[in-house]
Amino acid sequence: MADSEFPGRWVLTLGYVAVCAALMFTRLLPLDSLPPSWAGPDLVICVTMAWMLRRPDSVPMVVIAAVALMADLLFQRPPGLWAAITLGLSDFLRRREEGLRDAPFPIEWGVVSLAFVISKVLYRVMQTLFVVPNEPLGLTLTQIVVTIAAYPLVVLTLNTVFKLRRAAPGEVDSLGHKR
Amino acid sequence: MAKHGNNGEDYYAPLRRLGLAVLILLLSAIFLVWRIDSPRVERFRMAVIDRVVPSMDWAMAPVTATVELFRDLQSYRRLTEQNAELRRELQQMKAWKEAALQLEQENARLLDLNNMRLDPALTKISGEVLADSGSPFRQSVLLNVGARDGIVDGWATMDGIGLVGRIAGVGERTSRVILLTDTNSRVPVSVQPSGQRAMIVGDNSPAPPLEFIENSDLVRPGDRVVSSGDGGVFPAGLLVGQVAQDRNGRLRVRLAADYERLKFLKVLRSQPAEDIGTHGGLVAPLTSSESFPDAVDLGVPVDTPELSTGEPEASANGG
Repeated sequence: MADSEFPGRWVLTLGYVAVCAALMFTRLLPLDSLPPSWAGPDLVICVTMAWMLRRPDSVPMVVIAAVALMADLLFQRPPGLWAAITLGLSDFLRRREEGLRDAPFPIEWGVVSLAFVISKVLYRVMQTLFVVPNEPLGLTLTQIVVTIAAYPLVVLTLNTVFKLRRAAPGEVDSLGHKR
Repeated sequence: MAKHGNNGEDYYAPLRRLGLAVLILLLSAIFLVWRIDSPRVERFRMAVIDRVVPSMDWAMAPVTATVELFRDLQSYRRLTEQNAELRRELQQMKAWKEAALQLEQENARLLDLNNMRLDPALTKISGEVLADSGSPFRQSVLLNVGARDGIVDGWATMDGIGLVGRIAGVGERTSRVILLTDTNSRVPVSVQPSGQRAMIVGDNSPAPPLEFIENSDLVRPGDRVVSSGDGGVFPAGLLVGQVAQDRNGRLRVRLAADYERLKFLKVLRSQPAEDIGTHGGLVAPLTSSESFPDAVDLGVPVDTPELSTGEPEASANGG
């Protein structure tokens, strides 16, 4: 089923899960126990967004939900909240994917950044509403900035490793279906 | 039809929307349940971590070791500076050692005078740090000892020198230690020479602030901070760190434990603090043949190392 140029759909699904698992694994390494003064990028969401705008067919909602819930459980976040927001965010991008196909990369970057900022704000608002203690604002802000800055790098890496790129208008897969 | 050109896509679209709604509802329900009944979901989380993280251990250990190796290699470049620095420090240490020896002798004499015993019930279990919280917003580490090693929630955890945190969440093979720097951590302490009581309130910074000090005029930077044992969760007298003052004049604690390299931690097996159940009876001369048991009780010097105030420590959940 998989042609030579593009990896098959299920291979890509497995690839997505593997990449997310590897990212979580590196975050869990006990390298430094001091509280950081700035937060690193949220790479799992970066990968999800980039993947969603390139091969949305290979990341079903269930997979995204499972990965995000696992991340919530492992990272000591309120379970389910960020996962639900991630799922909403990914579906938002899934619906915009066709429209963004022939847009230049800066526009895609802008859409993704805006969506991420809104999700982060929504996350903090929900935490406040449910009286869950919020993270320090400085950390959230640095995380937003660093995550947005990391997005092009993530796209580039996925492009080289998995040959993930946006579908050209009118492109068809090996069976002749429109992608 | 310009947007949804594919005939198959259109057919699946409503189904997909339904699936999305169901999944988001499900995840929100998990969040709500966690908000309502946090302990149960946290136990579930602990069970998941207990299953997942130890199975990654075979990969984690070499990767961590390699990264640390590279860090050490980097420090080789500053070898000569470090050598000079170390020599200077050694010189200072010799002076300190002299002081320590004198203090040790003095301490032994005083202990002897006071006829005091250190609490023999304090034994320890050592564990290795498996993983950290993985999030910049939570300060906790995962230990490779759990319920099967007899770990119980709330026990104090130290590295070689000072208090590190307390157990919050016990799995079968792993347990989570909430560090003193976590925003959920509150530990009652006393500041040593003046004996002032205070709380260390974690705020995600390397040096947590001291709050609720009775009289902050009596607390000076450099004072020793030890756990006070109030609340009956921690044993009294564990070293926490030194008082320091930050730029805004706020009193903070510079922690004694080496938070940069938490590798092996010891969990103190603490006994529940004894409650003094009786209120003092009437002390009166024995007139009849029957004796007052309460009065006899009072005659015995109370030997408990710490008196519980009966007030549970501010609970800190993991989420």
